[in-house]
Amino acid sequence: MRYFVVAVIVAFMFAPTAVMGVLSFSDESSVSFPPGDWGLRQYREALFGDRWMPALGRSLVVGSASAAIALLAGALAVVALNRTSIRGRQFLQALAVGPLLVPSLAFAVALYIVFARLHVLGTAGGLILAHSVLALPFVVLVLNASIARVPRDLERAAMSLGAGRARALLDVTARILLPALVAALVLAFLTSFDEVVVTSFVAGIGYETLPRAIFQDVREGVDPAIAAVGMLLTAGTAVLLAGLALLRRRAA
Amino acid sequence: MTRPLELVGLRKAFGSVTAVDGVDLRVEPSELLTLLGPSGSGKTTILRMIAGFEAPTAGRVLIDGQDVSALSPAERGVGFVFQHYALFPHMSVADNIAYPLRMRRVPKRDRRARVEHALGLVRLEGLGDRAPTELSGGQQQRVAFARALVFGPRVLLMDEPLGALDRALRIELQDELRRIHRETGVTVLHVTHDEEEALILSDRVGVLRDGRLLQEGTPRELFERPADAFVARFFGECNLLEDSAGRVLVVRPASVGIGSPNGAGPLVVTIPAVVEDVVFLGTTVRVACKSEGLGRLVAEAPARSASGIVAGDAVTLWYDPAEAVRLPA
Repeated sequence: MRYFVVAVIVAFMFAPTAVMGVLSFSDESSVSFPPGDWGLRQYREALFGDRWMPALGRSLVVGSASAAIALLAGALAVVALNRTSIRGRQFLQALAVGPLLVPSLAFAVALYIVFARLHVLGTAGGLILAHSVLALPFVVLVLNASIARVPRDLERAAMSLGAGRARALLDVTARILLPALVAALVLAFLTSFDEVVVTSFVAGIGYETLPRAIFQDVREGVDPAIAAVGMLLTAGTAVLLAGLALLRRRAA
Repeated sequence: MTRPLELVGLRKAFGSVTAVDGVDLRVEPSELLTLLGPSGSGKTTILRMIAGFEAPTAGRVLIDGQDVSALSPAERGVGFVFQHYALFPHMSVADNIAYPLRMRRVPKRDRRARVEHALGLVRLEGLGDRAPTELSGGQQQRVAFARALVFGPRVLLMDEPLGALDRALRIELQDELRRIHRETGVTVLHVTHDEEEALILSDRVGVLRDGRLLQEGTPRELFERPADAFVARFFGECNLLEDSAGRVLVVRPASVGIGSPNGAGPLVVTIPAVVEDVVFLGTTVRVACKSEGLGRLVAEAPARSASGIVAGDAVTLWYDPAEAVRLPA
């Protein structure tokens, strides 16, 4: 009975992916299930057509840049929150995690108005900034939990042995937190990479990322290449998460 | 004469709480001085201010006669040993010990030789390639000693260095510490709440309470001439009694006899009491009694002579005031 329940749940979770997997090997020009002809046409279209790869490129640019910014800002914030006697610690911490609590639609609308004034709608820079804010809470949450397990005495030891404060943080704390830093970076990247609501508002057609392109495509009439794009994304994400799990296990 | 370490009116307040309340202290060259106090007495805060991890609210720290207030921890050249070792988990034992040398840009070849020498000093030859987590607690603390000594610190600070170890290891490391201190001649300021450890390790001891230095002196001076009841109690259990002049007497349990005071001095005081509890301690027996008027009294008698005593017995306790310590009024 237990195995039956597990099997149903697994089937339910993986069915969409399975359908997508089957569709991605269709050789037809419109979506039909099951496909009449089999082939790699959709993968060719996904990889070499002029629609999907440029969008993926933009997604990678925005994802990497916003993840880097979120990591830098988040790491510094976590150091300030945990390793200094900064005033208003509770408030600042709530502020850093805040974007998680704001509905993305509300954030998107507000940002649209601000960005319109600043004339950064539809630009990569604007989108990167918006995604950095969305990714920041994840970085702060991951690093906050991890830094709590690194005794402060390790930094003090390094300082007493001749390291400056920054040096002690880098040589000891950051080094020990390396797996957490990578995890935070990946999470931040995925937050941006997956994001469609805010992107639709502030980037729109001016700077179309992959999720936004897929979204748009589904509305206009489905390009069967989406199945191939989806499979490629799923594979990429799986590799990234597997690597992360491996890193965690090695660190443990 | 300049001393390796001198504290002048050192004070530290955290908000409205005063952790260290005007401490003056001089540590002589090659001396091992222990600050002894219960938790919350401010001893760790004093060490942190000396090392530069905390800024004093008032007062000065002088190292080799130089006011170090403006110096960062790195610039103070002070070794620090932590209760929980604080070894860098991602570095080998040798790399841990080499860290202060790397920070001082000691050439690689010299570094190696000095690490080897430091490992020898703490009797861990050949363990340089191990990870700290592969060592026992006692070995890890030895590595921490080696790391804090390898760069030739002006002063070594030790914060409850044996506090995380079990009793057998503690005793072993106490002997090691005495030897290392003898061999290196380093000036040490050590803090602990364990009076036995303080007695064993120290040339001099300062007793702290609520951020104030109550008394300092050699272990013998503190034991034999405690300045007040707190200091007296810190060095073992004691009965506090009043003499005929109304002054407080400190009578150690070992100085309290049970039974008739045959052959004792002429001034012996006898006290009728009822036994409340008897604890067998091996060579001695600890007998807790209650006396009408004087309250609780504890006697520690040789196990053989006290073998028949059980709770509920009416006994006569006695002590010789000549053996008791009279506290200053």
